[in-house]
Amino acid sequence: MILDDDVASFLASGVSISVASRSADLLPSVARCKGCVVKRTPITRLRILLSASQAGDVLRDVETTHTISATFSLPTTHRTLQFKGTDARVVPLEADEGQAVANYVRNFTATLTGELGVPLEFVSAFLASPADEVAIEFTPTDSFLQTPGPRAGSRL
Amino acid sequence: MNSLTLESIRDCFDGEIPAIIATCAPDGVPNGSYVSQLHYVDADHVALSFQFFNKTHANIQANPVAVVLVANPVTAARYRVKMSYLRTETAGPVFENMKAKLAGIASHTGMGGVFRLQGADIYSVAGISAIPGSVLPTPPGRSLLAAVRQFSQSIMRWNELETLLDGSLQEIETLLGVRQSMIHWLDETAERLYLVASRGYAQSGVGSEIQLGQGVIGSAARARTSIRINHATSEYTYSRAAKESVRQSQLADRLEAEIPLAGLPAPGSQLAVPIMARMQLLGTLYLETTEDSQFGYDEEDAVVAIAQHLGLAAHMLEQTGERLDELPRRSAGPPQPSGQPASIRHYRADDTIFIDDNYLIKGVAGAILWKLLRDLETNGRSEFTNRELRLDPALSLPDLSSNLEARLILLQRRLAERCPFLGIEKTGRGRFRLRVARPLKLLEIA
Repeated sequence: MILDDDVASFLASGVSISVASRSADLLPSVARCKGCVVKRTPITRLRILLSASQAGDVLRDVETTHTISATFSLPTTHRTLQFKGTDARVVPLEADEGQAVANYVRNFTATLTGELGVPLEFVSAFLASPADEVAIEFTPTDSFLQTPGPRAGSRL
Repeated sequence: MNSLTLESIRDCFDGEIPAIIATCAPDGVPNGSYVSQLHYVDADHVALSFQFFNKTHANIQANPVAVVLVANPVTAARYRVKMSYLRTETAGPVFENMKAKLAGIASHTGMGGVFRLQGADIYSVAGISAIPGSVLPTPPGRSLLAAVRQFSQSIMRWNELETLLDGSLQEIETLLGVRQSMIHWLDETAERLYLVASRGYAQSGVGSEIQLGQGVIGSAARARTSIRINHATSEYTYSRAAKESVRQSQLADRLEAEIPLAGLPAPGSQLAVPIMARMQLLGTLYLETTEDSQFGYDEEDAVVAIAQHLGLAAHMLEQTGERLDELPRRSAGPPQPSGQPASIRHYRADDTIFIDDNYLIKGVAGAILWKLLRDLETNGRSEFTNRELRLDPALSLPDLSSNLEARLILLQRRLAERCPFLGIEKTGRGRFRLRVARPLKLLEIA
């Protein structure tokens, strides 16, 4: 799957990010995330950054079943994209990804405090997590438009 | 050990912060989705709005397990809720409630044309866990329990329906700080509600009508459920509901359109609660504010409890209404009619009454007024009792005496607003006097 520049920059911008996985017996798990790094060579890989202690069963499920669904949504426009993969793994952050988390928190904070007028104090608490981020890396094999409306769920 | 209950985190279920739900298809593909509305049903159940046939809805039909991330809109506390899908409801209290609330969320988020509720997906909750992170302190608020206690004491002072209704609205302002409120009573057809008391508006709106199912008040009455909207929505404003009710009604009812409406033009928060007694709908209590998000689950509980007290008190007044042998209140003798005669026309078909070509009232209240005026003209009587009205076969009043009381309040208030030379004065419990300050010319029209 090749992402165009618009989509790639959307994924790395101040959007709401979440991941879902599932256990061996099909019980779903979900976590809110703290950034996304898009690798475009040699093939498209997405690295979703998230706090390990806030991830619930997601890390265990990814390690067990390697299935993932990552959702990106911009609250101001409701534009929502979802990517799915079946080769997901939990890996440590790379050297520059601590900075990527900080950038993401800054950008998403700007999204929420800007047009939406959410108080900064609230956003800071809402996005707070222990500094225990890990990455879930996967090859996106399917992508869907999920912007609310009758076309939600259609393939990109 | 897990002491978290669904009830203790219900403030998270208010649509302020979109929840995220994960489900899994039978082929093992997980799905994540943002939820526009999660709704607290009771201590064990939540409902999810179902607007489109999407992946979440398809997944839970095949594999009914889901997990949801929610956040408290004030403290930012976050939780993970595991739950199982039970069924989809397409009518009833939960559905009506979510439909009204969704309209508020939709217009708040600029999705007014997109969101339309198809069903309420009901889930049972299997487990709740807190997500580690920062939590803001809860700001101190009004004690709602103390307010309900105070109201339940105040209500004992009011021994007539009129003081009960007006007193309740006044007490709601004092105790809850809500300045705009109204009470509608169910009419004898049980299809419409008419405004009998209001507080905080330039126009009282007394006599204006709402059809059952119309707007937030009509929806609450029809579904017998409280409905709370936390964001301005044009779909559910009072004035729109009232105008729609008029548009859909018979010609006679359209005259009600001449009654100036109460209601805020753009309420930020709305709360409509049915007033019930012994499982019967008596009317509705409605509160609104200009600001958004003024009514949470706790405020809703408090107002529901207040409405329960109100309903029971109205019911008890009904039971004891005319058994008390109270002495008539003293008042100055009736004024002698003077000045230009006023013409009063009564249309027999629907009991509509016009005074000098101006519409006054219709229906039961119109029939009552006509009976009083005829009695005055033929027998010279101006003192009446509720009891004789109830027993009058010509009026064919419904069983509920609160309905007669409410009609008399309506008549009294319409006269006070529209016809200063005619008045109804209470002379005791269940007794009143017709006051006529101008000569009248009665015209009966078939």
